[in-house]
Amino acid sequence: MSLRSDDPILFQVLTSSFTSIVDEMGALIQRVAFSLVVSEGRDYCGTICTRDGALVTSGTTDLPAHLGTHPYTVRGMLEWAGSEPEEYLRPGDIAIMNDAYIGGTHNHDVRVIMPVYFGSSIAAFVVNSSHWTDVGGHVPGTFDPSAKSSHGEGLIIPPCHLVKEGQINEELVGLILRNVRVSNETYGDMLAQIGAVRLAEQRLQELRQSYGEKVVLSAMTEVIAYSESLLRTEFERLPDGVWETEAFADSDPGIAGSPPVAMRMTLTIEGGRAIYDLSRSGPQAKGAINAPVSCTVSAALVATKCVFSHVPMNQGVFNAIEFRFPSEPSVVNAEYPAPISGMAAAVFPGIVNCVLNAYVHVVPERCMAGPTGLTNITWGGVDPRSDRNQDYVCYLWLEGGWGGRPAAKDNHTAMTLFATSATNQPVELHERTAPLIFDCYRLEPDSGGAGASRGSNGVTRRWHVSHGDAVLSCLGSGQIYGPWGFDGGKDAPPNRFVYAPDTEDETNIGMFVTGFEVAEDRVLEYRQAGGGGWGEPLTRPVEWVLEDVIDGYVTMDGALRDYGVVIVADGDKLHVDERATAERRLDRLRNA
Amino acid sequence: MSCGSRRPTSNARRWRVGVDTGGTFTDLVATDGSELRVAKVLSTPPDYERGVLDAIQSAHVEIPEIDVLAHGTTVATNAVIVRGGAKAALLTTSGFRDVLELRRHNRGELYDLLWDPPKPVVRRRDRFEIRERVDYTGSVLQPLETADVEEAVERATNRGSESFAVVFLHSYTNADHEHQARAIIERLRPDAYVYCSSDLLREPGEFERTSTVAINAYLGPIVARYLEALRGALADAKFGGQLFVMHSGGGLLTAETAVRVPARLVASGPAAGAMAVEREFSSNALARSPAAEEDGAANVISVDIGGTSADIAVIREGSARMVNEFSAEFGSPIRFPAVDLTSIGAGGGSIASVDAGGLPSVGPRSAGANPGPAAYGRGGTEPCVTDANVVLGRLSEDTPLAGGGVVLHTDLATEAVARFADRAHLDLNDAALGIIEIANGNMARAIRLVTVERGLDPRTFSLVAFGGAGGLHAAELAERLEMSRVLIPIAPGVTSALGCLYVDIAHDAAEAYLKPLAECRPDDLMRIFDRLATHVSALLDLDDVAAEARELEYFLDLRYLGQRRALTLPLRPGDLDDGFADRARNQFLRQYELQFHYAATDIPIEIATLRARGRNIADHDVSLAGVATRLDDSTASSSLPSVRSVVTKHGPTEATIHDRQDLRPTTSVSGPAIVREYDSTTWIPPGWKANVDDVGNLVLERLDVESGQHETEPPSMNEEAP
Repeated sequence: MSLRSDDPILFQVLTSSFTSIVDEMGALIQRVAFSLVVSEGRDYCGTICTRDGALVTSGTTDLPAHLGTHPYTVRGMLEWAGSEPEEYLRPGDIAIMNDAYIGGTHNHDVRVIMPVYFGSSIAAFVVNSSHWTDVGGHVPGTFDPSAKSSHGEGLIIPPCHLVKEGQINEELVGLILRNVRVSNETYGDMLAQIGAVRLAEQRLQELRQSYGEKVVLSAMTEVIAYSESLLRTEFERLPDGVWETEAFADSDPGIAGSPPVAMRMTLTIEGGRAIYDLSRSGPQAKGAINAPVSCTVSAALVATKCVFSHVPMNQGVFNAIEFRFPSEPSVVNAEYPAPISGMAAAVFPGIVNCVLNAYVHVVPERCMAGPTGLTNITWGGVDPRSDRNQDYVCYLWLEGGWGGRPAAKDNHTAMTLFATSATNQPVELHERTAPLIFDCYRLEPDSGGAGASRGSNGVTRRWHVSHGDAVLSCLGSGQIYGPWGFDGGKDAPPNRFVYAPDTEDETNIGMFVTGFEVAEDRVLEYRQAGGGGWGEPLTRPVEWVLEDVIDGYVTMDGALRDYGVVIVADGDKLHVDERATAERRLDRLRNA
Repeated sequence: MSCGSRRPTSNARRWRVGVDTGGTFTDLVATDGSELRVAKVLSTPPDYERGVLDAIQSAHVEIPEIDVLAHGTTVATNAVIVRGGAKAALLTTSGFRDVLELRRHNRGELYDLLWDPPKPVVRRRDRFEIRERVDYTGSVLQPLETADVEEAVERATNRGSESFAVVFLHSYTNADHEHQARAIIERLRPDAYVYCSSDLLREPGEFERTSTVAINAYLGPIVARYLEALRGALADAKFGGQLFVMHSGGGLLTAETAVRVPARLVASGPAAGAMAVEREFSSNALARSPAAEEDGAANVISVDIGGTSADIAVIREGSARMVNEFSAEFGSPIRFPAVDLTSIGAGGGSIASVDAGGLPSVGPRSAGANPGPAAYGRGGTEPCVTDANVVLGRLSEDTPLAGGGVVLHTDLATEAVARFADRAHLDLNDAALGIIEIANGNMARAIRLVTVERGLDPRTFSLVAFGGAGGLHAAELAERLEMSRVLIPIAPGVTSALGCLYVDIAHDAAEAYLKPLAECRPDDLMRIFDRLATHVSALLDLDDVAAEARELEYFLDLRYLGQRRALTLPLRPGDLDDGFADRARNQFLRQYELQFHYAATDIPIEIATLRARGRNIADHDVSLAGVATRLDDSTASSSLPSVRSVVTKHGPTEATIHDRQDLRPTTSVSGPAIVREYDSTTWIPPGWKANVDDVGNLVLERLDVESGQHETEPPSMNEEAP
């Protein structure tokens, strides 16, 4: 017997309640957190996990990148504790940790974990991870491509009791806050996380009171089995085959002049099994682009979920996929103490692209051409504006385009694929919080990969520090490789980060920058790539290209260069030179 | 058609009138304090004002005798949904013309690669960058380049723009540049509508502000033209009263104000419906679900099924959920307070079709009022939900809709459904049942989204169904959701119009304070509150609200220093004495811990904002309770046949026919049965029975309610209906 077959409505009520509890956690965090990164940028994730650490549910507004790591967090914590869960965490206790090697992402993403007791035993754990603006280290914002080990990447917190029987562990909090910049906002964010897991714990207790312990626990395990069977059914419908893909990080920032670093995946579909074999990936990097297994798996799951979007995201998705890793430590299964803070700019998008690029050959109708990656830019200093004179740290993650799609469906998204719930930090709030002025924040013309279906445009930000000097770091990638085009579509132009553009000091500062000194009022310009194109650009309808040019998504030069469309201006009006266009397109097709 | 008593109106009477214009019907409720009249007529798109006058005329209310006309309208909603708004231009700070399109970047579906964000209401080509810049303190970094504004106006004019949205960065702290730009636009384009963000929404957050202002510009000319036409038509008929428009927050605006904030009308009618249900049912014992706890206020799912859409609201513990931001669609926020509503394209006019693969679907396309369903005989040939109801015998030629305004044609409905049946390879009855099933399924899914998906169990709620088609679908909809009680209010066809009569005029004012609570001086606060009170009082003066009918309320927004969002606490003026700061601190900490599950005593508390709200405490004694008897004497009934052939899921059978005013609390009707009334028809399927409660609501209950936690005491049912 199962709850799902006996009372499908109740099953649905409960599984939806789990999701809604996580959404409530998210709403609370967003409402009361102090930092711009968390309250406006929504760089947080909540989950419910079983007492064994199996993922039960995520919310509808939580950061996809984090959630696949939460099972590792719970299991890593229990292993670290080395005792029965009930001995380690008592009712009312809350643990805190950020150690990437005990089940995390990078040290910024600090996790709090609370047990949910049904009677005398733990029924589940509620988890929240939030990105702290700064976790110490030698540069503001902590991102440091020059770090030689994870000890150079800020404070490492192994599992500790943040709250013991309802009382906050003041000494621990004091230790943590002494080790981070902007400790006021960090304290506020930490308290918000405590509030969030307490809320979720209370909501689960209410569910137990309404429906009984057994029913709630059944719903948790059954929803996992349900997802697994749904996904396995999907795999059964796919043709058997083997597909090999790869993606690259620009270089190993720990080795001068290093070649690109590869992430490689072999997707095998065989009689309803799916094997993700990453064992041909490049060796562990000396610089901070590595990922522990938890991150790599999380990235693969996010991308898989995009291809099979109707399958509820929980441990069942993990269970349906067989992972293979290199036998030696590598960039995708780094070992302590390899530096990892740039994983979200390197391995994460790399694995996402490997998975998408494999499935695009299997089920193209559900996929798209290459999406943009992620770049972490942080800077900080002292804010000398009249009422402040305190430390500040800014963290920008940059938004770029998504790939063109089948059936000539253009893309209009500007966001990182594995952070689709994250939001930008409003310019106005940023300028209130820190001494900076944005000069522009706009879609960049010609930045989408050309194609029958165009990749969406990338985004350009220009800004300058308005008061005082600042120290800037950048951990990105994608300066060499732009997002990939598919089926004749073109790659999008890559990322670009320039200091003092259009002056004689203009410098391309690249994607791996540590402690770069930024002078007051000198402009920084960052262009995050658009998405790759899908399908031969010369087949894009001429009138679509004209509309693109009228709107400025594509320039007149771009229309000619990428699409063979000749557009002429007549005052304010633009029109297509049909004849010249036909000739040019024919010529190009002949020469192709 | 009116169904109030038809006494002559020689001695001057003073009426309050609520009119709700939907996509298909225009509904009216009028009261003079002793009598209540209802009317339902067809809407008259695109000239919706004609329908309003038709409704007034139909109720035999003399227009010069109207004191107050409160109006819910679909004009704005419709324009957003079908992207039928005005051609608008957006002027932004140089470097930021894409704020509207970049949005906040987040996606409605995190993992669905085929999901698309909404198209911006102002295209990129119509967004113009103006050189100017102000910082967060309001200091000017770059003066406004007036030539840029002039050039933008010229280019926008060449493109045919008739309205302008002006949104400059940090204008909430210094509005000069926006106002200068406005002056230039008004000089060059005296005919245009101009919306400045600093006049509409003085808060940081450029995207939400831009979206709100752009939607206002998109709607301004549409709403203005409509209200002008309405006022003109009313003036021609010697209207001397006040005209109010219902806004999405469940309050009223004067027509003048409405043109200044047209985006507030986007959920005008649906908000009115939800407010009516909230007022009528919050203390009704039957609105407490049989499965809910014994005490407590109503838990109600309100569903308004009209001609084009079904609007759903959840009323928990007596109150409709309010939200700070309303979106007609994901990613197009309107940052004004609103009732939390969900709307789907399912109603009597929803069109049934069969796709290339042979799969049938219903809606969201609607035949609207014109031509309307095939059965209306107004030239429509596509099969609609109403046509299916006619084929199944739930509606028939002998029960005209809208109080006799629309006569139904069984032959035309049958022809239309038969064509659908052919394409779907079904027989006629199965096709008609299928259309109803699909429409009910769509509505059930939408209700699940706002209950089950938020962790609420619909079985612990009652369903209140209204709108012209509410009663036809309510019971089967409830069955799908395993709900066991349905309430159909009196005059269900005009519930939203009634809602317009219930609500208040309300004005809000706020001022940022941004000082630590511990350092605040009560005198300072008092001075600011006085200023706010003066401001809202002036607005109430404009609305002619009498001094004795006013109520002023005060609020304080508190937060931890460094936080972005605040808790709003109510405040009485007498609270501002020496002990104020300590009391406020304690109240904040208590409330904060309750809501957020922690409270820190080592972070200073900041007073963020002071607020005042002034409203009229109007005479709301317009409840329909007890009106049933007054409706009695006006509706002839006795000549109707008492049984009719109908088709249910189990095949053809006979249903008894009843007139609603014949039902008494002691009467019970078992399904299959049909209850008819002036403005609506209720279908009672087999397995259900119905009676009326002591205030006249029609109460439908399932006969086969399971035992256990869903068990209920059946209401008193002593005799079977004749």
